[in-house]
Amino acid sequence: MVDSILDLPNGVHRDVAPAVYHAPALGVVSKTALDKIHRSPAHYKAWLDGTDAEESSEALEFGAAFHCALLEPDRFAAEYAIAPDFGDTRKTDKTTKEDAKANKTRRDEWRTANAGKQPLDAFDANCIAGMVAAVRQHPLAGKMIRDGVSELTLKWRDSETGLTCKSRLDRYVEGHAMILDAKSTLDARWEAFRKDIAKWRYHVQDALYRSAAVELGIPVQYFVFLACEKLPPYAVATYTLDADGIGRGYSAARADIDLLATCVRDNVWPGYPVGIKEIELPPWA
Amino acid sequence: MNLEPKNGAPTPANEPAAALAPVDDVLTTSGEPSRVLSAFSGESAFIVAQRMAKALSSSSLLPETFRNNIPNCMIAMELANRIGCSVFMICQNMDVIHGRPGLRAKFLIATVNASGRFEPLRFKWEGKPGTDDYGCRAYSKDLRTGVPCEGPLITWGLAKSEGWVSKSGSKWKTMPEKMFMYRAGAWWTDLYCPEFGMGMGTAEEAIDTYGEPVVSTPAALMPGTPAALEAALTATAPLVTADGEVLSAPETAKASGKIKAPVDDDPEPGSNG
Repeated sequence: MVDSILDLPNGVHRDVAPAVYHAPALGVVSKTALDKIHRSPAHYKAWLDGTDAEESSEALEFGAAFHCALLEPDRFAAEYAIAPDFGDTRKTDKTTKEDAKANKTRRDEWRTANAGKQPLDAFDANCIAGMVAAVRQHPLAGKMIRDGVSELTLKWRDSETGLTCKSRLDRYVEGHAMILDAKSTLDARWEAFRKDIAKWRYHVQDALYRSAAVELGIPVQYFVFLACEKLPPYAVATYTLDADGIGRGYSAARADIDLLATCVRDNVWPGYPVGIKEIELPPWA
Repeated sequence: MNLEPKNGAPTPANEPAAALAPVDDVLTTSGEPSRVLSAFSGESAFIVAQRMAKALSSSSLLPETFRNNIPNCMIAMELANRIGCSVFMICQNMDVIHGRPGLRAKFLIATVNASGRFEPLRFKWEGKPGTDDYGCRAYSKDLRTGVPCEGPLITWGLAKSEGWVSKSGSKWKTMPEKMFMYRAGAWWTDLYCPEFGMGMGTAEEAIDTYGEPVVSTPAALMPGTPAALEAALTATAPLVTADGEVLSAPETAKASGKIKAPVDDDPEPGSNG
């Protein structure tokens, strides 16, 4: 087991621990790193140094749990524990002090019994089970996840800057030359999801992963976003980005990689441009 | 005017001539008003044009924007028809920058030079080098009237204020002389023969405004069509009887053997209840 992504040779790797993969390293290109440097080099440096605001949110944790349940059910079973409803652990109008104390004791006992596992509350667990079932029953998505390999780590060298790059494919289905990326969302409709693509820069992810595949000689024809809604009826939609979107993602990724290379070379990490810019209301206001 | 000699694409011999009926008077690059045939003038013309576009789109010589894209090829044919040049030239000189088509400045300048309406475009430099007033102007002469035709002065000040210079990867930083001449030529064309540009901005100007073009994407990154994947997924579905008996196993495409799938198949999602 390696301690750092930098210890791995360039190529395709399975069984790289999530903590090892996600650990930031100076000058290593990843989707997250590009998002940070895109905001500003100062944001990238703060993320690298661990001094940025804590990013882990309920949405991210939910998304990670959904990924795990859908694509790595064995790991989900081993690493997640679904917490029962313990009731109020503080005295309220409806809960006596004694009941609150008993609830707290039950909760603590459960936590001890499931130490080392990631807790998932019953509501979220129910939603995730519903989402997984919806994907499996979907006429196309169900087939997409039937074959393939999950959580592949790719490592390569960017030929233009020499920077080390990494990406982690949710699922790769060689038979269809397809990368599958599962996204949990509140609204999987076409109009809403394309806003998600722009907001979360999924097009950059698409281009970066395609670039990785090209560099490593992995056949990729399709990069499919499998969007599943988080709430009943857990509607599922599948999308592939058009050529224009991939092109824009590639251009954006290229610009971000070049900026990262420049910052690493000069060891200069500026924030936003200095100056007074006129600001206008958004078009919808 | 006939569609055939203009864009070089042959008209099917068995099509009635009336199918491509003249519909419009336009000014061509030669300056002669001409009756132009439009693919969008009627059903018959559209069908003929569609066949032509289909043949054209299957050419591997075409840029990605047009390859296997019949609608884009039809638009290119329409433009070629109206400008009076080869459709292949249009395809080779049109870039789609973030969804916006634009002709390259080089193409516009060449079209002016070949039109026979003007002297070939020339360029002169004005102002003090190194200052914001320094810049380039395109000029020519109307061959029919002899009237000089001077284009607007493109200066560093203009380039900066329009944000052309500050764009990431801007060519104004690396090849300013060429960019000045291209922009001066394009703006000259926009004033004296706007019909050559068909109302489109130039590809270079679109890049300056919207960023790098889509065509910078390596071909290896371009996607397959969603319909093809959908068909492949559907084709790989096993045939199952009402009793649940699998009649044919899914036939996935031949794997190259680079990555092996895990052995365990399709377990239920875990639950720690």
